[in-house]
Amino acid sequence: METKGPGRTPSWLVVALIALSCVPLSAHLPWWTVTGAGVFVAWRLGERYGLKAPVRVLRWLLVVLVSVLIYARFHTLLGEHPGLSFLVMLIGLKFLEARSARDAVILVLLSYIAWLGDLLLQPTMIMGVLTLAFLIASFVALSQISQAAGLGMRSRIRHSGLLLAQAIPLALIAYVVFPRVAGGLWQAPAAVGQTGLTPILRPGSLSALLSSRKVAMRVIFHGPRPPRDRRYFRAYVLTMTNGRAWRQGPLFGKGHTEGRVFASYTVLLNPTHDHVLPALDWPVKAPAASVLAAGALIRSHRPVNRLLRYRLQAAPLRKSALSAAAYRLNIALPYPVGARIRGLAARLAKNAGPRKTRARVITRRVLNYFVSHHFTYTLNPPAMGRHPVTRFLFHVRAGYCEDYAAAFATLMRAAGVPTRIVVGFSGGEFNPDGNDVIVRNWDAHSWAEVWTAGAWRRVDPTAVVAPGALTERFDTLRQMLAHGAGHFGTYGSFWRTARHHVRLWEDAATTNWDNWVVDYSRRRQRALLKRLGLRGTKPLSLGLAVIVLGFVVLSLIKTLGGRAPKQAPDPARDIYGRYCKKLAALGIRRAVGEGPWDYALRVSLLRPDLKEAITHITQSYVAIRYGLDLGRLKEFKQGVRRFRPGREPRPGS
Amino acid sequence: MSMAACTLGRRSIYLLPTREGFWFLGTLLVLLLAAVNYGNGLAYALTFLLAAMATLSSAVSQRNLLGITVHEGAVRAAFAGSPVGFRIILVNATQSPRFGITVAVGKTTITTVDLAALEQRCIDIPKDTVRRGRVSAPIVRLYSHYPYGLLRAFSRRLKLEDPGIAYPKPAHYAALPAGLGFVDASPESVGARPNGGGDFHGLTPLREGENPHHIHWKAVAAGRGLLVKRFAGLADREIWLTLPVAGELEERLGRVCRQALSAEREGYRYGLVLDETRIPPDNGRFHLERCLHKLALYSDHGD
Repeated sequence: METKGPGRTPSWLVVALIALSCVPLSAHLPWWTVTGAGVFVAWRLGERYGLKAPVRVLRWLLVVLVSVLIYARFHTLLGEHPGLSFLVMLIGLKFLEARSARDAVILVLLSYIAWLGDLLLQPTMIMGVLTLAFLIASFVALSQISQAAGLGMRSRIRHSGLLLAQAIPLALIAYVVFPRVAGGLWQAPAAVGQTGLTPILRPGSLSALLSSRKVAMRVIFHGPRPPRDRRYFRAYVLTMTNGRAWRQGPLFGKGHTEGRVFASYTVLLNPTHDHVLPALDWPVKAPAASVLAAGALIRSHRPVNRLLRYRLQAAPLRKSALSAAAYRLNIALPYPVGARIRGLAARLAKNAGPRKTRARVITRRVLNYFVSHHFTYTLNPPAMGRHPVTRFLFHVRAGYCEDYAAAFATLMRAAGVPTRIVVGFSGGEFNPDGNDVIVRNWDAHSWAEVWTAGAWRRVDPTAVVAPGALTERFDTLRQMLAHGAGHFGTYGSFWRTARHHVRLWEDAATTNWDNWVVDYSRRRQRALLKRLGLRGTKPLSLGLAVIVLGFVVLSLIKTLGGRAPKQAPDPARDIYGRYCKKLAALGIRRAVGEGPWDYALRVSLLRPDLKEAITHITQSYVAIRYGLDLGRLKEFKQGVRRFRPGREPRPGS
Repeated sequence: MSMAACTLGRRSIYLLPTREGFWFLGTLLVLLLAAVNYGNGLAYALTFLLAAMATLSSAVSQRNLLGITVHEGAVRAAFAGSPVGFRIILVNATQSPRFGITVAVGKTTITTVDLAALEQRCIDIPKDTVRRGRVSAPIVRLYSHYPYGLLRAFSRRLKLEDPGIAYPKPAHYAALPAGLGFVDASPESVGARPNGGGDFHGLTPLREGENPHHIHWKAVAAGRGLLVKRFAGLADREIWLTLPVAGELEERLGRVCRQALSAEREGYRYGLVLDETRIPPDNGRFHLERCLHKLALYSDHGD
């Protein structure tokens, strides 16, 4: 590869590739990484306008500075985010010193790795489509780098596009067949800044998720889909409170489910970087690589760092025991609870009947209290201050689900009934196109569980206060809020419905995408290969198959591919070739670059007896070839056919 | 195989990754490791697409050289110290253009050319000489990094057949021996002589051994057969060149070389006597080359 002069700036296409691969990373990396790389690129481009290139020492100082900055930010240089930060800065620095074609190639290769980072952080369909464009652009850039002139831009694009089109079937085979490894090679460190559920409940913690349309998980029900009021996915159980926030505490005891399984379903959980696997109450048993922990929570062995698929069954009841320690923990209010709360709780617990039904009676009374005192549900609760429960119960009387759950649990505990709070998702939107239920961040919910008759039973105070909050109508409200529309009527109902349908279709496509691209796991691969009739193939043989495929393709290309390009048709040349062949049989070969007349002269010196015929043939040939006298072609052909030089002795010797 | 003409077939083209190609492989490995670790389908797709594109581009690499014919051109002799001019002719007799074809001798790149459809290009391959004598023909390879610079397609070694020759380096000055006024009795030397600076005398049929450069092409084209131009009116001066007795061999050869060059320029008829070799007096470019050739290959031991 020839280098293109000492000071050559990489082409605009390389700049575009770098921008395309690095800019999307800016959403996930510290702001100064992509900005810094941009400054380096601008610096290099500015050299055209007289900016001075940094000296070698300064470049090395920059490398050190970048490393220090990244270490200061992440306290490590390993892992996804520091690695990508480093990569982005490295691309900038490499660009700053890029002088040769070779540097440009390195930049293209680094942009592949940056693009990989984009794909890891954002494995969406759009990125998939963009990948194809990115590949074509990168090959056009490589072609441009490897030879400066000769080919037009359009043919470069056409060639690269064609190459990609040919590569797709091959890559598809490799994609389907290449063995998938369960669990990855090394543990990815937890990602920074993930949103989603948190195991702490305080006023406002869930309403923050209200505006997030991000899909938390998709649930595919096998068999009948349970109604909304049974779709409660438990994630965390919170048992300890300090009056303002609820946190996780120790959980006790084992249990067993009872009753007929009412739902059997598969969850596609988007990465949470946590061990929690949300499940309907009550899970019968834990899926593979996870455990059914105390509190009937399902905990995966490893953090969910990528789309995870698991299958569960739900039963209506889970019997367990409540030890003395657990009882104490679940009625504890270890802070000075206000006298008004104590008083209210005492009032509600008065004459609650026999021990067996007491919990149920008090629950009903507390819920009735909410209803009879005109508590309302609001998406934007006012600030609750230092004593949120008191303020909520006696002043504001309006709040979001976390306010209701906290107030309910506090009152129940104050009345002496073991109660705890559960955080998870409820409802979700049914998608008829994908036949699944989509659970988004804004479906985050909190509710309570009360210990009654040997089991924890779900009580959702929000549902009692605002039954509408859990209906489809409410979903629309939340969607409007999330999209900033604010109030109804901005769009006609037709457009609203149409938009809604487009969104549902899009979600169905996303489900397929997740199934076949993002989460094409070892298990799915096995299932697919089985369907293709490749049952029980071992990963090793699959890997070998891919390698063998590569070699077969290479050798096919070597032996069959690149069919010899067609010679341009030229009858005069072919006929003249026959004539030359006849003479060559006598040992008088036409030399390279020997003109027809030169050859005729040489032959006639050696074989004066042929002089006449040779002169005639050569005349015709020259006339056709150079005089374009095509009328003589037939005569020429006949002349050559009749030309039969025998091995006559040379006269005179 | 005779190098007179060699068309590159599949078996005479090889493929290997370039340095950039190895970097590309390394990048693929990084991508694959990341794909495996994160179990990310898109990352797998990116990796496999890149790998498939690189693999398939090898067909394009190969096709860029396939079907190119390499002809061996005439070798231009030179005086010792200056480069002998070997020459090959690259012919693209196909309808598809070829890009970035590099001609190399050993590790030295001679040139890089594009060949349009049906185009042919002469490539001069100079080879430096130090001493007189035969110059072995270079071994040539064609290669190209087309289309993406990741693969190098290269031809097998093409050994040119005709060796070159380096004449002795002519001395700066050497006086011509005195003209002896010999008159050759051969028929060619009587009357008209087929060269020199004389007047045009007429056309005669071509005879064997005559210089083809004097063929009258217009007459040939007019269908009158092979006729040769005759010139007349030059004073015949004949000299014999021999190796001087005194001095070092190379120096003596250099002087004879200079004498031959001067005699040719002055239009003398000159002959050469070297040990047993005797070249009869004549004049003309072919005669000069014949003499210089003898001088170039002369060895003391009567080789």
